[in-house]
Amino acid sequence: MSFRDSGIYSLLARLGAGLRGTWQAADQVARDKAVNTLEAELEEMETIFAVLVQGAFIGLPAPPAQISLDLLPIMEEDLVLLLDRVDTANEPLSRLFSVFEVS
Amino acid sequence: MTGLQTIFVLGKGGTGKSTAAALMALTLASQGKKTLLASLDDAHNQSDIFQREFTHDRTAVTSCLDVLQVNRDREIRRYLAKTAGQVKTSFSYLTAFNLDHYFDVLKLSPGMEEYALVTAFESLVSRYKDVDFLIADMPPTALSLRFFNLPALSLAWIDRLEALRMDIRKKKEVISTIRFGKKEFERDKILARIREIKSAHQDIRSRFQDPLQSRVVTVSNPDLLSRSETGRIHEEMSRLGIGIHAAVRNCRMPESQDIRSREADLRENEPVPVIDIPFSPSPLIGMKALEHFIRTHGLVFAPVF
Repeated sequence: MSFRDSGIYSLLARLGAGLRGTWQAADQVARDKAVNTLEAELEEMETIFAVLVQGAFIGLPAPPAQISLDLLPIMEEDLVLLLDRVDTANEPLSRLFSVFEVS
Repeated sequence: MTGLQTIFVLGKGGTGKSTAAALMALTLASQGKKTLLASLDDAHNQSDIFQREFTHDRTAVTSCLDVLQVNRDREIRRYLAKTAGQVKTSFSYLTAFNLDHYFDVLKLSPGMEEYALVTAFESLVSRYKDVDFLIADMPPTALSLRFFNLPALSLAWIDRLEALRMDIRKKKEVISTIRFGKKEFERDKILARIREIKSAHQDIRSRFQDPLQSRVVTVSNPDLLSRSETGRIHEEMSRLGIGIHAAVRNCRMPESQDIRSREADLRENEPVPVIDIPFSPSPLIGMKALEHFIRTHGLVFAPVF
């Protein structure tokens, strides 16, 4: 009977797989935590971009009209982001606390 | 071979820009140069000068001269209809709304007039490749200066938007690297479009600034207001990096020929040829009068060409 067929090998293999799975889950959690703040920052940058380009629609200084209009047809996602932001616009601090997980 | 050369004729309203543009166009045509005279001014003065109606399609006036009238409203309508169509295609959930009505209001947006002119000019340059000279009879000074300023103003915005979009892309790459262990390159449609717009504006700005492609001629009368406005045109064009090729002085009164010799309406250290259009005792209206003037004073515009 070879070592590969023994119960010890099977036990070690299961243990290895378990450790790998735990490592991967921990790695994913760590990566998620690491990018959460970056993603929030990215969302802010995208919102600023949308406000800069389409600011004319909400009474802000804006680029020459043709730049806003040329980009409008491909800015659907950015406009959705802008609309979503309307819901949280009144509570900027609570949003910031939630990004930094301050409770 | 430098391709199509454009001569922009600028000046205060009523100084005789359109007449000067028509005379230049006829002079070039009489020399066998294929010439297109395009009126970018809504006043439709070329129709009055040549005593016939012109549309946005070119009309042959002589064997070498075509004339057309740019319709600014039509250009704006075409542009907005195109954008509205693209929005309808992209924003599927908005198809229930009547966007045409909303886009109707946009034609009144600040900046639309000069954008329509720039679009019309680009269209002329790309459509009429068989032409040697394009004479652009420009609208009054304020709108003309906004026309020349538009590419520079747009590029100032576009550079900033491009920089922000690049930062967004870098941030996305960092997130993708941390989350998935590798950079995931997703084509950014907005950045690509910004770069297309940038390239188009750079092209048009280069065309304005290249003396082999564009020549700016100012037209003034020997009076203080007209000279002051011409001085401001020279200053503004210099700020935009666009040179003035010649200054035409239109002597509308016989006595003005005496006044002009005492004038110093061009800035020092800027050697711009000055062309005096001689006084014409009869109105320069209709082909007969124009051709007679060209035969008599044809060489007067030589410094422009």
